Amino acid sequence: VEQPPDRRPVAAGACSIARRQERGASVIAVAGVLDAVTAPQLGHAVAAATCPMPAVLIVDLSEVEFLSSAGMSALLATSDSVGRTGRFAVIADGPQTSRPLKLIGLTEVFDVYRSLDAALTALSS
Amino acid sequence: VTHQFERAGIPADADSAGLVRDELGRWLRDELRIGGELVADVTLATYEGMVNIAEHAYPYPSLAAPMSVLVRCDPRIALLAVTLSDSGTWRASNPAHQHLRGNGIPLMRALADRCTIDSSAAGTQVNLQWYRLLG
Repeated sequence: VEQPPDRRPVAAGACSIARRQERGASVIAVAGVLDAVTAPQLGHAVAAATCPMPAVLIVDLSEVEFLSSAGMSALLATSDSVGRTGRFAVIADGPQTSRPLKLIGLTEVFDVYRSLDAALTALSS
Repeated sequence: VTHQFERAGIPADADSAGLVRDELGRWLRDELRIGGELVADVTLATYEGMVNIAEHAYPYPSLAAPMSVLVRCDPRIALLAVTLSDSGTWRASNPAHQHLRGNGIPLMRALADRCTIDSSAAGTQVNLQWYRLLG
């Protein structure tokens, strides 16, 4: 079922998560803060999106303004569970998201793209 | 002139860490007029340090568990220094949570130009330093 993207403003320190299908991929779009308080929300969204397991799961962090190690751990756990049978990618660009993912070495563990378009193009080829 | 941001005796929990992170980010941008990568690095490393204190220094969250945050910036010597302190004892993480919580300290070390963690019976002090204020 196609869902419209969630465009509600996100309160300070909060996180909003929306799920949709795009070009055959299951996309989880996160907005706001992904930290020790809100990372479990991503875990719940991933659990809902992976039963049954999609062929392609993308977590889109384009609207994330702060990503902590707790959020990164949730991404790593998602990569571990999806990577066995499907393909997993993260969308991140900028000093708050792609930079710390790279510094800690997670860009070597899962694919990180700068835009959803780039990820969908690469993953459908 | 040395600029200073201080939050002393605040609760060592994840909610306070998030609040101080937001206040620190505003202070760095509005008072120090710095931005971009450095603000992102300083706020994330400081947040990770506070969350580590909340998770490891005080294993029983119901007890009164304060922590303190002091950020000093001296533009003359291009130094930005963060000191986090608590009066608890850092414990090894629960092995069951190692893979989920293990990124905090390596991330602090990767983000800061210098990172030291000193533990004693009186508590733990985390020092984070950056030397790239002048670009």
